[in-house]
Amino acid sequence: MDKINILIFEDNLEEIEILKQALSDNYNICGIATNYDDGVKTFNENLPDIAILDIFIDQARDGIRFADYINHHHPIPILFLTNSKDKISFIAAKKQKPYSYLLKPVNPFEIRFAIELAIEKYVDQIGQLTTKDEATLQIDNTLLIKKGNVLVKVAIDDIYYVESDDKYCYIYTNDARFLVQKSLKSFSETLPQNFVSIHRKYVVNTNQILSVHTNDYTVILKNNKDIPVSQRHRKVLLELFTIIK
Amino acid sequence: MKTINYFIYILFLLIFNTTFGQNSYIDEWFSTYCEYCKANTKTQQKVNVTASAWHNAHVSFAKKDYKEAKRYVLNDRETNDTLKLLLEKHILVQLEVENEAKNYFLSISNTPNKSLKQFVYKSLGKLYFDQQKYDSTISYYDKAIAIPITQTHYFKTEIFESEAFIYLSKRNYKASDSLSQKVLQLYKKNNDSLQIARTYSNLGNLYFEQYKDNIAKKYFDSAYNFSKPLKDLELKSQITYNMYLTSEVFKEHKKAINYLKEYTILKDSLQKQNTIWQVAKEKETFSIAQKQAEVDIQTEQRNTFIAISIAILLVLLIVFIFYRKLARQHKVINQLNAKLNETNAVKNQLFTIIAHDLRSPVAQLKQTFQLRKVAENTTISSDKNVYKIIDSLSLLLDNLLNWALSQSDLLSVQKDWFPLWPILSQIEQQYGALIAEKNIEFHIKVPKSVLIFGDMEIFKIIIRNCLDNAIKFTPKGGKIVISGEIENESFTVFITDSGIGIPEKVLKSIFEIKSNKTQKDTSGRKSSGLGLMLTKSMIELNGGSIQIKSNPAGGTIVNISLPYKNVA
Repeated sequence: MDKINILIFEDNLEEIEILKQALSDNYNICGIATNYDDGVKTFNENLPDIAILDIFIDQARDGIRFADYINHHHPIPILFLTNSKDKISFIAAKKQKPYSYLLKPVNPFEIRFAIELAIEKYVDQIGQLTTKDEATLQIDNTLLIKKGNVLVKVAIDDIYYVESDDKYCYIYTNDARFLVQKSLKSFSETLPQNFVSIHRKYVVNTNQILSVHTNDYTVILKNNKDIPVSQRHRKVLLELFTIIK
Repeated sequence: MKTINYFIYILFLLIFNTTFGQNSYIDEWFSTYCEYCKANTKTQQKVNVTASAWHNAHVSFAKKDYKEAKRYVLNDRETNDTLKLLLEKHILVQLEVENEAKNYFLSISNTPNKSLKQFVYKSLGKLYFDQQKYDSTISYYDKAIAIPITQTHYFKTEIFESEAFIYLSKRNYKASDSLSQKVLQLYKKNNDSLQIARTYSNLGNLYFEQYKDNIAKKYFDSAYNFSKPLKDLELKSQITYNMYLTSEVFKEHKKAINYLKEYTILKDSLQKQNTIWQVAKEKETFSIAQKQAEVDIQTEQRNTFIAISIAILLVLLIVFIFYRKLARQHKVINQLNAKLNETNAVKNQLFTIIAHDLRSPVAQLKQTFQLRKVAENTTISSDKNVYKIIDSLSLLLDNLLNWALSQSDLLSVQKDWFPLWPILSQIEQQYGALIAEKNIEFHIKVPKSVLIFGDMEIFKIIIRNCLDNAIKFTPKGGKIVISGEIENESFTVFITDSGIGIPEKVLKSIFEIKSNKTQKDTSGRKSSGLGLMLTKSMIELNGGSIQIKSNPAGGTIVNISLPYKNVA
């Protein structure tokens, strides 16, 4: 379980300070760049999950230029930071569609919302994070999980198992549990093939299975958690057994 | 016999009249005063010299073109007035306005100029002759002859012949004979065969009248002989007819038949000649008419051509003038445009600068205080006031900027789907302090799953303004509810307050800026209405609609409708 890594591209030190204060509790600021070259370097070193870019750096639209660089090398959600909504500021930004922007002044509440919205837009699922208190969004091999005010990312392979609880489900990692506002069925549809349903209530990551006990029909995971296998899924268990073997 | 004589007499008269119709003497007399005729050998042609108006006048007169003659006389500036008047009066005579001419002739008959006197007497005699007042004729002709100056051939022959005719009609045969003999001598002197033949014929008639048939025959024979080589068919036919009559009288029937035959031939020839002449004349008239028509067509074509040319020229000129005018205007417009573009660029630049540089410090101030509040958890009342002031300053500044930007088409409108509920709760958070201070009961009753289509920041401005108003006009302990309702494809947000409400009068013109409709809020502060006006134009930019109604339970309801969908 990691915090979201954020790259900040901003040349005004006071603004940087404000952003730091607003973000540091819930996010990991992996780099701060004050010019284009610096930004490119920091970006390649840290590979952030999201970038917050001021449009105007040194009176030039270097924020737009940097966004262009990101989109061409390693696309991630981008959030533009701007002081006004005039057309001149946005003409160049229009090329970077779809994009999100945040109008100053920023407050922690708004910036969290803006980041969530930027991620939603990036995967074209507007409303998935922002309209729910507990939600999850999958980006490539990473699962973004919203837990209250905190947005964490979990590598899908780090998930041990998922447990159904009526219309919700719990995601278990080595050391944490997340509630997701989704049924197990709809959630497991987006998971890769190594996630196998062994019970009406459980989907396990086969990569995290320690051992399979055919005598009492249980699966022991690497964290020593044992999960029952239902009668209907015993066939699957046998297949699993051969895989592990 | 008497009837035949009478017939001849009539013939005789006809001859006389035709002879005198020529005005030979008068023409001659006028030409003697013509400088041009004196310098050149007598010409009967008009000349194209401006100085010779008089020449052209008397030539035209001789040719019986009286209109032309009159015109030339009027244009004549050199000839003396008496001559001109005389010519004018003779023109009048020819046009049979004789009395005026006669009066003039009489008025100048006492002139000491003998030549003029002779001319006037002759003219008067002629006048009376034409009026058949023969006694007066004789008296004036005698007076004319009595003047002791040179008498021209025409003068003498005309007078003698006229007198001979008069004496004949008075049956004074002796006088008539003697005058006719004088005339004959004069013509013989001039070798004028035609006149000789005619005079012989006249003499023949004279004796025929006296029943002296032998003498008459002698004269008729002479007339016949003289007429033979002539080409005057009319005269010849008359003379031949006379020969036929005398032959009849002398019972020479064979001769008479021959003369009659000859007469018939001559008459036919005459008729033929007349016909030919008439045909020729008609042909000429026709060809003239044709030529005239051609000329008319040519003239018409030429006129049309000229007219078209002038029209084209005129059009070109007008086009040219307009083009120049337009070009000048164009130049001015271009200059103005350049100026305007420059001004516009400066204005846009200014707005951008203001938008950035004015907004930044206020934004920073607000951020700084927010962070401080979070960090220190300050509850000092003075700080609360500072937040309030900064918040209202920030809203006012945003309103002003957005209004200015939208009015100059500089506001960036970026429409997309956005979640409604988080936006509303963000705004609630911003106004949390104010709401708490006024102890207002505040609720957001909107489904979390609703997504709205529009520009999110513009929507925020709209809601902020509406909520700001609702809080301002709601007394302490009041209630504000933001609720929503799905209507077809749009979602309507209701902002209902239990405030003081808006009077009907004000509601009608609520979206216009007017100084006289300011309303005081619950704390007694005036509201300009800028926020509402901005709200209206922002809603329109977002493609939605807004309505403000009175709440039947007291207070106001604001409806804002926008396109919506549910989150998947």
